[in-house]
This record gives sequence, structure tokens and C-alpha cells, in this order.
Amino acid sequence: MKSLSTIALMAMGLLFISGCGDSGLGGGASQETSVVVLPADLLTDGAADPVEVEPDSDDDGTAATGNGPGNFNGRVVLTGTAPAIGPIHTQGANIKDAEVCAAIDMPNEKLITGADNGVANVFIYMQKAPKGTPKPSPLDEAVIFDQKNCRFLPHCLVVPTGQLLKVLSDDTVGHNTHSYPSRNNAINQTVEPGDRVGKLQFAYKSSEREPLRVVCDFHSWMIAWHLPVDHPFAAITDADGNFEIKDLPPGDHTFTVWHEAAKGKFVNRKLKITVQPGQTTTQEIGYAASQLEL
Amino acid sequence: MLVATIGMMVKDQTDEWRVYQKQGFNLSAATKKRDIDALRTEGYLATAERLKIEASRVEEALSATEIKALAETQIQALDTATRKVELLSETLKSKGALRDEKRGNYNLKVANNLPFEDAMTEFHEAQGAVDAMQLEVEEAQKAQADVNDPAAEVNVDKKAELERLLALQATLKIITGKLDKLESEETLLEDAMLKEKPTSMVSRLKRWSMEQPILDGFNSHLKVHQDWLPDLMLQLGMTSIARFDRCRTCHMNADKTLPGNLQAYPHGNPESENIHDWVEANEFPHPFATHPNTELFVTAASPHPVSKFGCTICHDGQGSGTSFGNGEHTPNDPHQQHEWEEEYGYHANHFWEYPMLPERLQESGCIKCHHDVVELGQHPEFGASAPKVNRGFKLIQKYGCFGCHEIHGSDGGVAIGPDMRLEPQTEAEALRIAEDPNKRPGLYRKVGPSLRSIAAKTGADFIANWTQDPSRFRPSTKMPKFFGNSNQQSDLAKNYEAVELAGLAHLLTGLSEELDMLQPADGYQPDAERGKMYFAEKGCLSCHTHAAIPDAGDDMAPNISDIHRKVKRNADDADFSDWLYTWIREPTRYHKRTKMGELFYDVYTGDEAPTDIDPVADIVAFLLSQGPAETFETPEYKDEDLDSLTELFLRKGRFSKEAVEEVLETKTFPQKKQSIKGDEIALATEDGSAVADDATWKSMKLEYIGRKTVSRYGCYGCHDISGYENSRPIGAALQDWGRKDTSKLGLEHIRDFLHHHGEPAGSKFESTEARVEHAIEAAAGGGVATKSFASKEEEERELGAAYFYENLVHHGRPGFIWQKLRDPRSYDYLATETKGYDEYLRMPKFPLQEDEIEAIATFVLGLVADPPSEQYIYQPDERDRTRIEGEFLMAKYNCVGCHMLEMPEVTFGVDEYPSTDLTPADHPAALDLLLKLRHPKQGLTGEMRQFTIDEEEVTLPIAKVSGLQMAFPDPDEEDPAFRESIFDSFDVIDFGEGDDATRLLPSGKVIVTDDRMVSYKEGRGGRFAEWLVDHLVEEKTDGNRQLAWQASPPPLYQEGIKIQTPWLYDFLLEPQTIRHTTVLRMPKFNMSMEEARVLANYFAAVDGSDFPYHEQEATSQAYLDSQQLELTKEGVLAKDAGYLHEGWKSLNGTLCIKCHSVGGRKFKVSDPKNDVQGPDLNRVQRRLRSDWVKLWLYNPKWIVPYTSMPLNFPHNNGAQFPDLYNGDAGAQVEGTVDALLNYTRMMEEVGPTTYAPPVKKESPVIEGQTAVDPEADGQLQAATE
Repeated sequence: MKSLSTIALMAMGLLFISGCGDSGLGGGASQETSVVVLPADLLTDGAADPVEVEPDSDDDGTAATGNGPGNFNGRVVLTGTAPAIGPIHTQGANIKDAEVCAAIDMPNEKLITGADNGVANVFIYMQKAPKGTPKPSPLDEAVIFDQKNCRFLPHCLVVPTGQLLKVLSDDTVGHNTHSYPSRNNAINQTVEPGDRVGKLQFAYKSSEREPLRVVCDFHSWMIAWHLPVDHPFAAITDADGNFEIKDLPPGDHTFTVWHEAAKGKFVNRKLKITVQPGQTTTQEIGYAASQLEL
Repeated sequence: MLVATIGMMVKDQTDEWRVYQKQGFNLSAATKKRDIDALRTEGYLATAERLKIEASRVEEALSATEIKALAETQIQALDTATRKVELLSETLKSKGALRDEKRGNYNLKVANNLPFEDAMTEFHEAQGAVDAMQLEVEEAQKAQADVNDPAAEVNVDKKAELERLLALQATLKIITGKLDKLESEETLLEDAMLKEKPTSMVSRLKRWSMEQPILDGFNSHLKVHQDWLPDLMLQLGMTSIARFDRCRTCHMNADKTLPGNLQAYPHGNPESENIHDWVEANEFPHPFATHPNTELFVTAASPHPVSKFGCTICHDGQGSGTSFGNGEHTPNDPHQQHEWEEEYGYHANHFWEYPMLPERLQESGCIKCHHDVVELGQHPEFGASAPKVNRGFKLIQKYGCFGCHEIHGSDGGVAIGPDMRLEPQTEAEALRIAEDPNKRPGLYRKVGPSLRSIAAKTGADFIANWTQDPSRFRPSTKMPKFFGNSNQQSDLAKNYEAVELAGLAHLLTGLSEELDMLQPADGYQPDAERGKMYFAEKGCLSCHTHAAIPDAGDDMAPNISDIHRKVKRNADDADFSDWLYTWIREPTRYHKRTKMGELFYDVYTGDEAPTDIDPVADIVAFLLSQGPAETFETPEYKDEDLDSLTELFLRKGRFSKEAVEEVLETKTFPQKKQSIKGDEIALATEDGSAVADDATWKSMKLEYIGRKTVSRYGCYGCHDISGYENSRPIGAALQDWGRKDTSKLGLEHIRDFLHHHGEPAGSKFESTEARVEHAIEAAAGGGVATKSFASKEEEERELGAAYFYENLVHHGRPGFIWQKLRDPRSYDYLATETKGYDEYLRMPKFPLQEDEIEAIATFVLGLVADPPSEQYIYQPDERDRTRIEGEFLMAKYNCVGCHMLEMPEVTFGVDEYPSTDLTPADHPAALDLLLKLRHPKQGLTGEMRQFTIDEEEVTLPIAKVSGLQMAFPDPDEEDPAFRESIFDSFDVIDFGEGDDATRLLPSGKVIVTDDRMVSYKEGRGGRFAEWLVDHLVEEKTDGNRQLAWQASPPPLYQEGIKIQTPWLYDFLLEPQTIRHTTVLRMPKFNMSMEEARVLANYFAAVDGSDFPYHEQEATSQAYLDSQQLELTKEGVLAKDAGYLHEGWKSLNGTLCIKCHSVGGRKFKVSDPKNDVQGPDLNRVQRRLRSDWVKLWLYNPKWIVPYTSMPLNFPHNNGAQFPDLYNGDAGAQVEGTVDALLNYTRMMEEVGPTTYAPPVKKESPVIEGQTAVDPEADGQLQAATE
């Protein structure tokens, strides 16, 4: 039970890291089972102080009339028929390091849909936060980026800049962790079998404009997506496609909706919403099946 | 006589050069005045004031009574002590002399065999006196030193005071030193200024008097400045004399530079006549300007210092002249000429053979000493120093002028520019040259395709149609136009032209040899769509272009969008062409000397299809799928014209009119075939009998005309044609053409022609003369400034035409060659009327633009048999020679089409210097090695510039770095601060100097936002690679640019530090598969062993590596033994462990095999499409240099930022192989590298090995860090609820 409670503790912190309330592991929808949505605060680790953000007077679109931040939540829903995709390989397949990697059916996480065609693992984030938005401060504890059975856990991660990430492995075969950032220095280093200490640790110095891929070159199917951000307005949809972004300053905002299976990766490059003071803006984001590239 | 003398004096005193020099001195004084004023800034004055005050304070302290008295005593004491030392030293000297005399005596006695005991005693006595004196001197010296030493015994009572005195004196010295230093620059400038422009009456009078007649003969400041160049002879008529260049008499600032090699007098065209305005604007007119390129010329530090080279060796002109006219200046265009006429009374002087080169042809002088030319177009230090002449050189290579006009590289043993002769065309000829020590073979290939087996490729109709006007079928072709030119407009010419074309097509198809063609496997179904993909990705577009894939390609090779129209297709399958298949698959089968590489499109079993795939067949299908084959129209000829042309040529062959008529009448040639050597062989029969049928006779006549046509137009100058291997070039040789006697230029009626014609149809001018008149008028009307020219380019082009036109009218070589290339047949204007058809001019019209013509003219005019003495000829050392020859080959085989040699360069304003933090995974030794292999470059240029960022004006330092661009600005983003270009650096870049510098290591990101961007310069080479990367990012790698680069031709950045020269030599001759990640392979080029040798050496030469070979230390037993010993001593290696054996284990362990085939084990494929497979490791030992491999293992990204190779042996994680080298990661790297480099030996000694690290004991479980278990969610939910 000890490990469970620590997971729970971790979860509290990681919620912020993930920028969304989903499984509690910042993992987007690495998990096919049902998930729990926990209250999350996006700016501080745990405490839910109201956020005071100076409305940007330069921004014409900002309505500066309100007296408190608002929220933005909703769902990303696939319209049309979602194509069925099977596992990447099945248990016992004749592949490299089969004893570990083919110990399970390897789920294809490129497109996961949940209840009512909600799409999991969609990133919803602002490219640039309104002026005056405070930078989220990193957690004291490192965020864990793990791998088991030749699969990254979590599959999707939102992480503030400067946050220490620790790469672990629960596999008896070696991996390498290879990131492809645009604005940060890339990592490409081997992770020894069963490294539970985390000899590979790193932090993203800069924010990225798009989620970046992290792969293991030894096992070409292994892929995860990280989005380093320097503001709190980013989320990943949970297994049913839900997301919530809290404490937005009132006014007009532009969000980027990004998903790995979308053609060109963007579901919507510029999703414009308006937040009223102290209110929640809810929007269902359509994701047409024709946009998919699987 | 007195009057005459006075007259002479007056004339002498008013010489132009004196006027210039006086003005020059005034100008110099004015600039010095400016510099003095600039020195006297507030800060400067304040510092000087402060130092003066400090000095006076110290002086005051020194003048206090006690100190003053002490100082005086000290001075006295020092004086006495010094005198004593001097006195004693003198005595010592004389005693020494006495001692030397005694030694002499002794030596004499010994030599003369006399008793020497007394002499020896005397010597010892004298030596004793010297020694005693020496002691006295030393004592006195010590006493002298003690005077000012507070610690000395004599100073015990005044120690404190003395110390203070000395301190004060020292301070004063420092302050006055600073003051002097501060003032000295000013004083120097002031002195210099006063010298040139004195203020005192006396000095002014003195200076004035030195300018007066007679007195000026006594070292006046006004004098002719002479550069005497005894080794740079000047050819004057039949004799050669030493060169005297007096240009600097007027161009007195030509070599004046400021620190940092800045021009002291930058050239400009100030409108004002007032020198103070020039100084203020820092713009100076000729002759007062500094040379525009002081980095390369004139200054002592440049490769061409004026004291050694003078001026006229490059510029021509009359160096001894001291007036504008006598200098033989040459205007750059007629407009400038008019200006000069008005201002300087300029007129061209026909009597000086070498007038100055006009600016537009300036670079032709470079070839006199730079015979290779290549270095003028590409140089590591000076870049493209003579781009125009280099362009001319390249155009000649492209159009193959040397096919008809020999460019020999020498004339009677005198070197003239590059040797551009055709290579031997037969083995017999090659052998003959090889056996003759005085002969060197030519090296150039014919530029056109082989016609040896043309019938396999296309039909006679196409040959005739194409030859008539090549650009009709392919607008971008380089083949010139032989027919329909300006002297072929008469009906007669048109009729004969049709016959010639028919004859040519008939002959070429008739001579065509059988070609043994290749075919795809029986029943193979080519797939055009797949063919298109191969065509795009397999490298065709690195040289060719095709309309179906726009935005890609290179004009190195033809645009083949229309190839489907002309290629001969298989009789049984109109959708396929065996010829095209053969050509792509094995180009040399059809054309032995083609430059087209063999691209290894091997048949393979793909994952897309169950059967074998033949990429070549697919490419053929794609190319042919663009449309149907066509039949081409050919000009129809009349039989009587065939007869009449045959008659014309036979008459030229010295047959009488009657004889010719009889031949045609009786279809009988009067000689037997075997006795004929000339083209008439076509008309003869074996036994001299009559030809029976008309059809055969007609065919024979056509062949005869065909032969005449080939030899008259010299088709074999560009094409390989069966039977014409030994034919000689038909044009005039071009060596020494730059000095060709102008009276021998066949100008004919060219002026008339240009008066009435000369411009292409559709031109707004009815003649060239009208065009030139317009240009001169427009220039006189103010040029671009007043919009009488639309643009600077138009002005340059039109005035260029005006220059050449005027030059042509005045019978100049530049004008002649210009018109010859614009319209070669125009010299036949009104001349064909009195010529036979066979005497018409034959030079074809090349598709050249006027700027290209100017470049070619610049090159050809530089071909002069007038080389300076040996020491002036550019003679590169071995490394430079290899670099130059290598550059030539890089261009020849278009290596730069695929491979990037230098990265793009970005210049930008930088506020936060990009930097790299080392991580615990980085080995300290790796950084040292990195810095050894990649010397840090400075990122900051030292300049500052203003930027508008976020609506604020900020001044930022300018940085200039190169790197591979990996991210491009988002076109939808409006905010310039968010439009980013991101570069991966391949270099170590320092921002700043010394320990404070911020350092960016290779693979570090340089992010440049649009609002900080200054400029972007494309890399050198690699256009196809960049295109392919973009293509693959879209089509294959899901947006991953790093993987796309891995799939494309690699940049050859610092290849010399990487590869072993002998391996590269083998690889160039027989390329093998290295990378499994690339979508294409290195082609096998049709190069000689010598070429492969040069190219292999090239990389070591340019990258400063050991050259051309290097020592591979890792294979030496001594090295291995020392590693063994050292690591054992350090406890890293157990007593019984072998250094290499542990490395071999590491290599064959669990890491390398993940991506590489190694030690006899094959890489395990899981997903053929997405797996990253590295090169097979058995090649490393022959292919790579050991330092490079070591750095690669230490940190691969430091060499190739986009690689997938991970950092396998992190410094902080030797424990992954705990039993190897005692878990020391650094030793693991070294051992693995050395095992790789001793691969064969280890395979033989140890053989295939598998190694797995020992199973670890239970890892310590760190709280909170067990694997994340997907199944735990439910529990988690429960726990949180």
C-alpha cells in the first residue's frame, strides 16, 4: 500500500504537470481503463489560490471588466466513424527483445477514443500566454517518465519549463530515450535495464510551440509526446476527451488543438474562445474523422 | 634658350601629378585633423586632466623639504657609486686585456715549441689580477645597488623615508607614462599633420621652397613614387624590360589602411570638390581612394603587396605614366569615356599595346598567374575573389568551347591559363601520349552525349529536327544552333540546310553501332507511380529537372520532362524503352565517358509488394507515362539540291565540273573504296563499279553530305561519333587569344550589320547601334537616378553593351568576342554574296545571355602568353593543390549537388547568448577531444545594430553562426517575435572572449526570431539534400526533420577529420552501402583512379587533418600495451583481463546490436519501415579515424546533431556494464573504440562473442519510483476516493 499512497502523492503534483485532470498521472490516456478526474490547480502545486492575472491593456481583445478569472473546459469529439486500430504487435510476436517487448499486446496509442467518441491525448494549449501571466514554478520533486514492456509511461505529458524529469525503466532490456525538441537541446541517451534510480535526468529550458516526440530508437514503436510550457494554460484530454483549463484571465484567447493522429498534427491551429469574468466557457471541439492520418 | 628653359620649368611645375600630390597632402592633413578631433573627446580630455592633477600632486609631495634633501643625497650617492663602478670596470677591462696578451704569449711559445713555463706563470699572475679586480667590481656594483635599496645596511636610519621617496618616484613614473601614452598618439598625428600642413611661417616657407623649381630636386616631398619591379618584366615590342609603376604618385592612398584592415580612404563619388566634405562624408574620389580590396591586394599583409607586385601586372596600362593620359586608363563604358574626355581630355591611345583593363574586364588579369582559375572562385580565406573570370571558366566547361577551340594551357612552353584540352579519344592515342615524356594528356571530356549507338536511343527524324533548332524541343538545352542563323536566311542556304540535316541524320543512324541492352526480368510489371517516387528520392533530381516534380532539380544535366517524346520505345511495348532502362541502370554501357553516375537502383524485395521491385523499370515507366512517343517533322529537301550540294563539295575536292557531272550522271565514283581516305568514301563502291539503283545512290549521296556536315561543323568536338575519334578541332585555338593581333580579327561588315540589325526579334530597338545610342543618352541624362534606366541592372547591362559595341567599332578584341558570341554569323553580313556555301561562317549560336558573354570574354581575354617570372605564378603547396584540384572535381561530378560542404550562415541580433550546459553524462575527456577536433569559432562579429523588438528600439550585438536549419517560421504567425528560424550548430561557438565567453556546443540550438534576423546565407552545396529532406518530412518521416536528414545525402562537414583517406579512395571507385537509413545510395561515378585519389585527399586537405594519410594509433601494439598497463595500474582492468578483450565484449554486448550488425550477428528487424538501423560495424576500422570514433561514442550529437545514435556510455553510468573495466565508463568508451578499430584482429583472435552484463541484485527501490502500472488506475481511484 505504501507504493499506492506515494502514487497518490505523486498524482497530486503531476496533475499540474499534465495540465489536465485525467488519470492522475499526467499520462494523457496511456491507460485504457477508466480514469479519475481530480481537482487540479494549474499554478501552484496543490493550493487552489485564485490567480490574479493583470489584464493586458495592450490586448484589444481582452475585456477588462471582470473581477476574477474564468475557466475553459470541454471535450474533443471525433465526428464520423473512428477507424479501428489494432495493437502494434501482439503478445509473443517475433520482434527485437521479444521476451520483454512482446510480453503484452502493444496498444497503439495514436488514437484512443473513449465514451461518446471523445478523443484522448489531445493537447489544448496557448501558444503565448497573455502578458503578465506568471510562470509556473517547477515542483521540487522530479517528474517520472517511465517505461515498461517497451512502452513509455505516460504517453503524453505537459511539463513546465525548468521542471526536472527523471527517466526510469522497469524493463530488463536497455532502452534509449531520444527527444526531438525544436527549441530545446535534444536528449539521446541509453537507459540501462531496470534503472529505478533515474540516471538520466533533464529539464526543458524553453517552451515549445508543439508537443515534441520522444522515442526509443531501439524499439521503433515506442513513442511519447512532451509539451514544455512556460505558462499554466495547457491541458491534455482524458480518456473520454475531456479537458479543463482553469483561471484564465477574462477576454479573448486563442488555443492550439493538437493531436498526433491529425494530418499535419493540428486539429485546430487557432481555436478562439472568450472567457467571461468568473465564468466557465464550455466548448465541444469537433475532430473530423477525415482529419485523421493513421 | 632661357625662355625655353623657363617654359620647360613652368610645364614641369604644372604636371598633373604635382597637383594631385599637393591635394593629397592637404587631404591627408585634413583626415589627421579629423582623427585628432576624434581623439579629443570629453573622456580623453578628462583622463588627461586627471592624470595631470595626479602627477602634480606627486610632484608636490616630492618637493617637500625633507624628501627633497633625501632625494638630492640619494642622487649624489648614486652618482658616486655609479662612477666607481664605471672606473673599476675600465680597470677590469685593461687587466683583462693584459691577461689575454699573456695567454697569447703562452700559446705562441707552445706553438713554436719554446719553453713556456715563464709565460704560464705570467699568465696566472695576470689572471689573478683580473679575478681580484672582478671581485672589486662586483662589490662596487652591490654598493651601487644598495644606494636605493631600503633594506640595505647603509640605509638603516633612513629606511622609512627612502621607501616613501622611492614609492613616490615610482608613482610619478607610472602617471607620466600613462600621460605620455595618452598624448603620444595625438602628438604623432599632430606632428604628421604639421609636416604636411605646417602652421608656423618658417616651416611653411621651408615646405613651399621645397616645391620650387631646382630646389625640388633635393628630396622634395613632392616626388614621383616609383615601384621598381625588376622581376616583373614588361614586354615592349621585341624586348622585355623591368617594370616601373608610378601609379602611386597620384594614387598615393592606395595602400593606406586603418587597424583591422579597414580602408583609410574608402572610395566614393562625392559631388563636392571640397576635401573637407570628403573627409566628413568619409568618401573619397579617385585617385585619393584606398584600394577597394586591401585584404587581397596592395597592403604588406595581403598576398599581393604593392611593393612586390606593383599595379600594372593586374591592371595593365602604362605604369611609367604620371598623368591621367599617360597612364593609359580605360573607361568602363562610353558614358564614362565622355566624362573623362571632358574632365581629363581623355583619348584612347592606339600606340600603347596594353591599355588598362576596363573595370568590367579587370579579372582577366588574374589568370596570368592563377592558371588553375579554380582558386579564384572558391578559397577558404578569400572566398570568390574573381567570380566573373571563374564564371567564364565554368561556362566554357559547360558549353565545351574547347571541343572546337583548343585551350592548351601553354604555348611554346609558356604557361597560359588552364589546360582545357579534350582527353585522348582512343586507347592508341592515350598510349602514345603516355609514352612521350613531353606530352600530357588532355583531361576534359566531350560535353555532349555519345552518338555512337544513337539509333538505339532515338530516330533519324528526331536527329534532324533537333539539330535544326535544339531549343525548339528543349528550351534549356546547351546545344548551340547551327542552322537558321543570320547567314542562312537565303533560299539557297535554306535548301542546302535541309539536305545537310537529312544527310546528318542518315549518317548518324547509319554509323550507329549495336548496343547490348539490358532488360527488366521477364513479366515484370513496372509501376509508374512508384517510379515517380524513386525518381524523386533516388537522386535523379540532384542533376536533372522534370516538370512533374517542380521546385526540385539542378541544371547540371538536361531537363528531361520531354524525354518520353523522343526516346525509342520497344517494338512490342510502347510503354517501355529498353534503351532508357539500360541508360539509367548502367550509363557507361551507352556512353563510356558520361559523367552520369551509376545509381545502384538494384532490384530488391520490398515490403510494399510481395514480388521483387525493379526501381529502374519503374522510373522508365514513370518517364514514359508523361505522354506518347512522337514523330518529328524534318525539313524536306529536293533531290536537285542534294545533287547540287554534292557537286559543290566534290568540286571543292578538286574534281572538275565535267568529272563531277559524270559521277552524278553515271552513279560511278572513279576510285575504289579502299583507296579513299576522305568523305568521298561514301560515294565509292568496293570495285569502283557503278551503283545500280537510284535508292542506293541517293543514300550514298546523303551519307556523303552527312560526312561533310559532321566534319564542317565539327560535331565530334562535343559528341563521340564512330569513325571520328581522331578528327581535330575545327576552330581557332584560344591560347594567347587575349593578345591576338587585332588586325587579324575578321570584322568584315559588322558595323553595317549593327547599324541595321543586331537585336533579337521583339527588342524595342531596331539595331544595336540604336540601343547603344539610347544607353549613352540615358546615362548622360542621369541614369537610374533620374529613371532614364529602370534599374541598376538595366543600366549595367545597357552600358556594358555600349562598351563592347564601341570597342568593336574601334576594332577591339573584347568587342569582337562579344559580338561573336552574341551572333557568330553576323560577321558574314553582306559577305555571303561573294562566298560559296561551303565558305560561310560555321560557328553556331550558343544560348548565352549577355552577362554570360561578358564572363566568357573576361576569361578568354585573360589567356595571354605573358607570364611573369616563376616566383609570381601562384604555386600552391601540396595541400592547397589538392584542395584546388578537389574543388574542380567536386564541381565536375556535382558532388555539391547532393552534399552540403558548408552550412548556411545566419546573422542576427542576440540578447541572450545560446549556451550548452554539460550534464553528468558528459565525459570531461570528451570535451577536450571535441575542442581538439572542432576549434571554437567566435559567434560575435563585434558589431552592434539597432532592432525594433516589442515596439521598442534596442541595440544588440550582432552574431554570425552557421548551422543546419531545423525549424522554419510559421507562415500563419503574425508576431515577428514568434516567427522563428532554428538552427542546429555543428560547431563549438563562443560568444565573447576568454573565460567570460558563453559557449554553445554542437547540436545546440540557435533560435533566431524574425525581429532579430539580419541576414541568411545559403550553405554551399546540398540543394538536393535540402529538397529531399523537405520532401521526406512531408512524405515519410511524419514531420521529423532529423530522420529526414538521416535518410538524405549527409553534409560533408569536416569529413576530413572523420574518414580515412585510403578508404575513401576505394569507396569513390566502388561505393558500398554504408547507411541503411538513407533512401538513396552514393552513385558510382565514372572517374579515374587519379581523380579518386585527389578527391579522397581533398577532405584531409581542407579540414586540416593529417594529410593525406594519418596514423591509426589504435592498431599499434605499443599503444595497446600501454593502455593495458595503465588501466591495470589504475585498477580499472583486473590483472587477468585483456584490454582489447573487454572492449570486444562491450562491442558485442547488449547495446550495439540494438541498431547495428556486429561481430557476425545481424541486426534484428522488427519493423522494416521504421527501424533505425546503423551502419554495419565491420567497416569502421578501415573507414574512420580513431579520434573521430572516440568522440562519436562519447557524444554522437557533438558530431552530427540529427543522428539517432544515442550516448551509450554516459559518464555517470559505467554501471550498466559493471564488470567491464571495473565499471569505468571512460575506459569502456576507449576500449570499445579500440575493439572497433581492431575488428578483424578480434574476429580472428576471439571470434564472435556475445556478452550480457551480470544480472544485478535487486535494485534498491526508491520511494515513489516503482514502475507506473497501467493496471493500477482502479486502485488509484479507490485510494483517492
